[in-house]
Amino acid sequence: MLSETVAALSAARQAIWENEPADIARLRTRKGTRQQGASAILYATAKLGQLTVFLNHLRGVVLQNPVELETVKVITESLLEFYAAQYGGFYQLTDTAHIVRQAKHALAHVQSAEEYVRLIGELALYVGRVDYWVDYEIPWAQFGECFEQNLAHPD
Amino acid sequence: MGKQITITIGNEQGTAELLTELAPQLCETIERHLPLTGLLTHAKLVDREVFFQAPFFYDQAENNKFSEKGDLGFWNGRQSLCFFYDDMTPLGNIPTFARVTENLAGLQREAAQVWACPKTRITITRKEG
Repeated sequence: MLSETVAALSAARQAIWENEPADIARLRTRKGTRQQGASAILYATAKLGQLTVFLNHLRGVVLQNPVELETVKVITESLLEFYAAQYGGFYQLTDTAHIVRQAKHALAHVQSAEEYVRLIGELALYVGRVDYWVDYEIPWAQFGECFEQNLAHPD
Repeated sequence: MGKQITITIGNEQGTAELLTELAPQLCETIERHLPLTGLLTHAKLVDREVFFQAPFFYDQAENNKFSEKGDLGFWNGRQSLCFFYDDMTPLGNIPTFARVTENLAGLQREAAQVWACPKTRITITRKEG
């Protein structure tokens, strides 16, 4: 079960490594307050970045310290469910939500630190990759100029 | 001259020297994954840095240093391969594995445009001979 899930995550990551994931087209359709899409994209990259950072930290902690694995798994499961619900429910990132939940279910089969590091590492690469694709959607240069103009002329 | 790599960003090609004496394990990791390619995004807080995601981890702190103009480093916090293309103030130390030795000016021109035009292709290959 665990090896199959890690292989599935790896295949899913490789499929979106060079090709834009279908989630991005769905995210573009997501409109927030006043029918604008900027806040959905900005919030999506924030939430993807948060989970990527958490996963990398958890992976690093388990890799470099003697930890009580069952507690780490409970904490990780809680985080994965929280973010999966947000990705699918708030931002139309339904494939990403599915992948995160796949990893969450596989956690139950993790029996060693090495297995945890392998599973969470693969998930971190996947979520990080999706975050890169969302980042490409943000017109940072124009956004920065507009922000500065607003600061200079607040009215 | 030690081992070299070729860096291609957009239409420009440059050369960098691998810092094999300062970062032997990181350089070995990078070499093992060559050729590396990706779509660049620009840093948001560091004024002259571009980066792309690499599909591997590097968990050591080898040659961990404040980046300088022309440095290439690996930030394991997000598995990002970073190119510091001009003078800037980095956010902290990162393991550094190479420094550009040829055509930094050309790479700078392409990298600077990534701020307005992300997804520029970067490719890193072994330089033979």
